[in-house]
Amino acid sequence: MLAMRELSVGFAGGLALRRATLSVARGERLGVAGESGSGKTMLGLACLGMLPEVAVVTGSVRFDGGELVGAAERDLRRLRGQRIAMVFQEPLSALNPLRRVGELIAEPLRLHRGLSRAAALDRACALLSEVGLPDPASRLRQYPHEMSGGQRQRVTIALALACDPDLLIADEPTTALDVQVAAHILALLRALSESRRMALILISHDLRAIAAVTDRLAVLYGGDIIEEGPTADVLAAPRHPYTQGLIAARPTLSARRDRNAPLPTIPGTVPALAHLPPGCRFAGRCPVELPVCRSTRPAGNPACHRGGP
Amino acid sequence: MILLILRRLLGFALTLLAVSAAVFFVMNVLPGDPAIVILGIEATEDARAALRAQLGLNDPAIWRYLAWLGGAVQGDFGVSYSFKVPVAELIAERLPMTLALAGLATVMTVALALALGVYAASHHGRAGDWAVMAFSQLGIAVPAFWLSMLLVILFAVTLRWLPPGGFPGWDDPLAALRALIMPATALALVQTAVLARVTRSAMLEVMRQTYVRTATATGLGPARVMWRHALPNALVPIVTIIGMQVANLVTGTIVIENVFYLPGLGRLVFQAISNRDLIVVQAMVTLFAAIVVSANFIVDLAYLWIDPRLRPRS
Repeated sequence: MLAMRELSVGFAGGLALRRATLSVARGERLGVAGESGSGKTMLGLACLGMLPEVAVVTGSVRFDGGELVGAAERDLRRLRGQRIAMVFQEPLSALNPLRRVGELIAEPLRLHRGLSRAAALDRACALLSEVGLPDPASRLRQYPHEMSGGQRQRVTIALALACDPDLLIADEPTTALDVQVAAHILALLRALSESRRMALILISHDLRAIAAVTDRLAVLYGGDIIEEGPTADVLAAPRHPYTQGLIAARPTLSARRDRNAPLPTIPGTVPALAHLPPGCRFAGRCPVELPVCRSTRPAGNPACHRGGP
Repeated sequence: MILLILRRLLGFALTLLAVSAAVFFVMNVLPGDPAIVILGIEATEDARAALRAQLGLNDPAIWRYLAWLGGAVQGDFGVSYSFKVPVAELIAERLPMTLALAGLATVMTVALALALGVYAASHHGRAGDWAVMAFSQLGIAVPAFWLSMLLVILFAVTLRWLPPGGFPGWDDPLAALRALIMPATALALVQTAVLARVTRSAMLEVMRQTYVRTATATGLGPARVMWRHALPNALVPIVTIIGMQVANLVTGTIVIENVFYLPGLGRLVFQAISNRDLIVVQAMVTLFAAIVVSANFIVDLAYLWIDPRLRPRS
């Protein structure tokens, strides 16, 4: 349904996304994992045609056969909210603070579906109950600041679902939330994707969140998709040294772990956009680096000159 | 909420009391003898002394202030020394014109400034933005009285579209409006320049917020996103500046009404000061203070109307 081919997003400082190729089928749940600065938010925005104006975009993103890169704003607007919806990172600031929750959800319904005010509010009420907010009818009259973070995130999801999109992109939907609340939101996203046969792209740095929700996983590093495959397989047997490091760096609750041993980390940090190495972007931090890694960009899956284990 | 408004009203009354007292005592130490104003310099010292006694000018200042205040709360501001009519009557005659002038200027300012500011913000860094900023810089730099003269030369003298000054009265509303257009424009342009800048920067700040992105991501058009989602969130600084501009507007009318020979409050206060008609000046300054304080009061209420987060929890 969504097919991204060789998509590159460039800024004055360098490429935020380098020849990314990905696809999502109807009803499929794809996880995109990566640290901050890996280009995952750009990937999400590209699917909505909402990349910043200064970005230089090459390659192709096709949705249902239609090209999104370079499409007219008017055509993109017909897709946004109606076919492709997005939930943004910060639930606390993602809702207009001056509008009642009911009006916010009713607005796209009235605009895109031509519903009357009353019908749109009815629908908003049903959506709020679908995302698991108790007492939805009285919620409609509340302002966002009168709700907790988790409740607001449920409202942003209800808003995204308003016009029954075929694809929902959730960009770090649980970052600002408590662990318990986050788990509920993730379960909700998964259940909604199943009940509505709605494709889902979950963008997160949290491998556990991705493991809980998605079927397939793409790992992003420095703007490159370095490994892709079924979520369970990639997490059980990662083949790219970066993915391996990422999984090893996950703190566990296991009592067997020596409490005094330092937590495993990947040395160094993600290089800044302007200082990305020309070859493999993990070169310099990679424990199994070869001379060729510095100069030539590795291809394939995993994108590694060692070709996996 | 009611309590909040009552508290504000009390503050309003106290502010007016303080202003009127300050004005009264400042007026008192100013040089100039009302008796000379009324009787002329030819009058004998005996006649002046008799008049001072009759006007109560020999009483202690505090006593005279209280007497004035007692009348003022009943709408009696005394009788003008130079016009020889009740001050309340003078004000009532001129108030409608000044209100119309200030109202027209405010409407023009707000409409133009919001349009320019939103336009500039949505064209940030491009030619349209630069043009608005250049206009605004010019507007801030140009004094209103000089702009008025340019307007008169262009629209009254050269093109002969509008009257150069004077006011025909309210019998013919269209003629009245024609007489007010140029002065209102002169008043509005400087204010527009400032307000457009404030609108632009407030909008730029708001446009970075996630909820603006959310609105775009739900498929709303750019005009709807800007006017319905971004602008309301930018209104608090904008309304603050509008409130502050009311004070400029009051002083602006004094200059502009004199340039255009408009019989309004601004011209009255100018004449009253020239004539040492202290009792009129006293009432006028108190009235201007009341206008400015009411504007601030309205701004405070507007904040509550704009932003539900500022409303007290019930």
